[in-house]
Amino acid sequence: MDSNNETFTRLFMQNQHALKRFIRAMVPNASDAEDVLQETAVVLWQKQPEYDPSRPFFPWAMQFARNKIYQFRRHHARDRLILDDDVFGLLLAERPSLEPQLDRRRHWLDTCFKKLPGHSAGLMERRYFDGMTVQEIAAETQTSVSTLYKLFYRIRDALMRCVENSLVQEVEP
Amino acid sequence: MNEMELEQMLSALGDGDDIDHKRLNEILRNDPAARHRYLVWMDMEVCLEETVARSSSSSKLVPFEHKTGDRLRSWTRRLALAASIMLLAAGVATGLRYFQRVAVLTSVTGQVYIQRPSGKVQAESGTWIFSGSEIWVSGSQSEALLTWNDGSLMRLSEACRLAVSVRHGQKFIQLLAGCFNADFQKQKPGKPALIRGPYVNAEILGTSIRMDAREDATRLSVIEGQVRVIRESDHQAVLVTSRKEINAANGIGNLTPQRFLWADRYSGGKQGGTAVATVTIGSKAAEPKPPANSTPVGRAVP
Repeated sequence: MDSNNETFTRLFMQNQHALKRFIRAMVPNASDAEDVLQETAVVLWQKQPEYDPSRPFFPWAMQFARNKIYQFRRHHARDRLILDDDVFGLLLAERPSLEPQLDRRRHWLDTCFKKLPGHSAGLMERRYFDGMTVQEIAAETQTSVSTLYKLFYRIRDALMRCVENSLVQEVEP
Repeated sequence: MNEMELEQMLSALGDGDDIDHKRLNEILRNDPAARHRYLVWMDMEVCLEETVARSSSSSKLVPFEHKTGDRLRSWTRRLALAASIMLLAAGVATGLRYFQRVAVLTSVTGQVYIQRPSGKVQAESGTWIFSGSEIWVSGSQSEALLTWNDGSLMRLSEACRLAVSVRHGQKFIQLLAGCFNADFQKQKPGKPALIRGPYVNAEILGTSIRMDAREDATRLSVIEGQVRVIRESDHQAVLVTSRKEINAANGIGNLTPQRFLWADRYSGGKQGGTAVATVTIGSKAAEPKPPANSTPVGRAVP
């Protein structure tokens, strides 16, 4: 791999999670979002010769991600599309202003996750590390799906409250 | 806004389940706080994948404790308890297996790296590979030999980038760049090794095959047994049986298996009496540069 390729790959690796987060917000189904990310990655790789390293990578990559999202919405207008056009537009417009706050939230998420009780952490591992669906976890643990949804709600809520408290303390030490 | 209702919908959505789209749009359309919650929630979903991977420790999922003693009163509930205990034992065993390594780099030459959630580490002979890892053979003339727990072998050539994972005993392999050769042991029934490459996905059903992926097409030849091939561009699927091959370009033409006459090039499909699958993606003489159509991203778990 030559140095240009290496630099490009490094830049991509550094930014792929940010791209994924953006795509997931606009394409809420996880598997569809993965597909859009994959297609974006292919285009980025193809457009690599056009990339000017003196320019920031993320905004350059974002334009292709945005195009792929629009393309996905066009192709799936009748079946898998979840967000209506007007709601999609609102979310697309509102997300950039939220970005600094999301950055801080990510920073505290690790700390807050470590404070979760063992059982809650175990559940989250099943969901986010093993990639199991709520239905699969319900079958494995002999728990009803609705109970699990409530449990996940409580865990996420606890995480969100922890993150928000940390953000407040950050502002008012 | 009912936050729990919104979260249940978003969670179900993430799982690919049906939800009331109309209701979700109505909530998001009319309530800025719900949109804020949605954006934060979606961002957290993706971040949690990284956070959980980083924090993943020995904590394991166990069946929930029932707080009420009256659940033990009936025989059916006692039986359920016995089943729970058995499931607990099985769950712990499964969990332990999950967090164990799935393969080992038995030989490393040159610069080889493992991308883990915690960052990139340089690999050496004996480095264990955990499910979800990405292996990157970086330097020129570098090479690595990956030995799976079941004895399947993969030889990764220079510039090869590969994501590997095992989920419920099934291998998922995604070629991100470069090429590899592999000898697969017969896979467990119903759990074929899934290989995702440019243009096609292949399910290794426990057969002897050879696969060559080039920039413009992927050729797959089956020496013995059968392989299901699915073309990426149009999801056209075909079962390729013994002594036949397909040549799949990106959405061009039919995937029609053709008989091949040069089987002698593909000898050695059996090892020690066990059926193996021999997969070659790319060519050993490939340029260090990854193919233009390769994707530098992704987890092997679909």
